[in-house]
Amino acid sequence: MEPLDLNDIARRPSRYWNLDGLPELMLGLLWMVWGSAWLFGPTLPHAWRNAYWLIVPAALAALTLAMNRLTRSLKERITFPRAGYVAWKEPGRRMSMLIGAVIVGVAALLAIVVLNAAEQPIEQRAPAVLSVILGLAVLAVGVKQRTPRHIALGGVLLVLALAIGNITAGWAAFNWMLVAAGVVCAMMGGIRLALFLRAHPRPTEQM
Amino acid sequence: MTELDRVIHEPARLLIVALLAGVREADFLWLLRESKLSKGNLSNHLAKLADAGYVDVEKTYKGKIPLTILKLTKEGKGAFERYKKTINGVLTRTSG
Repeated sequence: MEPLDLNDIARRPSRYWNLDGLPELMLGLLWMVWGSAWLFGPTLPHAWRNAYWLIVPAALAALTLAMNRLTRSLKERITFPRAGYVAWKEPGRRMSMLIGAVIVGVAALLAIVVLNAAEQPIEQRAPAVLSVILGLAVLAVGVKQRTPRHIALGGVLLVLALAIGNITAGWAAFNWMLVAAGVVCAMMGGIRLALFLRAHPRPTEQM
Repeated sequence: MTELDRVIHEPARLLIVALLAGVREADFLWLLRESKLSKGNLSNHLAKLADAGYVDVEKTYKGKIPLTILKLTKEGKGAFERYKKTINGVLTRTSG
């Protein structure tokens, strides 16, 4: 038996979450829906826009909140019967407070950067800052889980964030970036899911 | 000499306990896949851990299919933490 690396073993449950590609597939679809919804709104006839902007942001927020539960229910049908069931640990009080503090910190930073950008209009600065945050979040996932594909995607998003900061298209560029990143992410997830299904046929008997 | 917990010190059982320490609960299939032990070997080690009160084994059904849910008990978590401290202490002393 090989010597045990307890730190590596501690990372295995979080790696298992990404093993089947479902989280990436779902995240990619979510980004595509978000980007498309914001791009589609302005193209609607004027009479429909009020109703659209009344319903769509709430629907997008609800979809985002439901995404984790949706992914879990898909895992219960697809992943657990093939590769085993795991109930992940809920984040402790300390970790929850840390996550909350990071979210508040990022929101405050975003507000400061956007409001102090005197030389550039808010419409141009805000999408760039959001792109940087998105890129850093993906990069952080990649570093934490040691997944080169996430590090690469995070790097691409950061480069695109710099590009978005230097063009005047602003929100439209950000939304197109979301759609493109969503397509890439969903494709990565789809490929991983296909490989997972091939490698793990559904067993006839459970243990 | 510092006394190591013999139940956990065995490599296969240490692996099982370390895997279960990272999750709230898991089933036999996941543990089998992650530990790469054989079914019989895993069952034997789980029985020893259950006898020591470190692992809670719950046999249930999902539909008509039997399912074994495994969870580290409070004693198991404590024993694993103590083991890590002890082994780190031993390693520090021997390297220093």
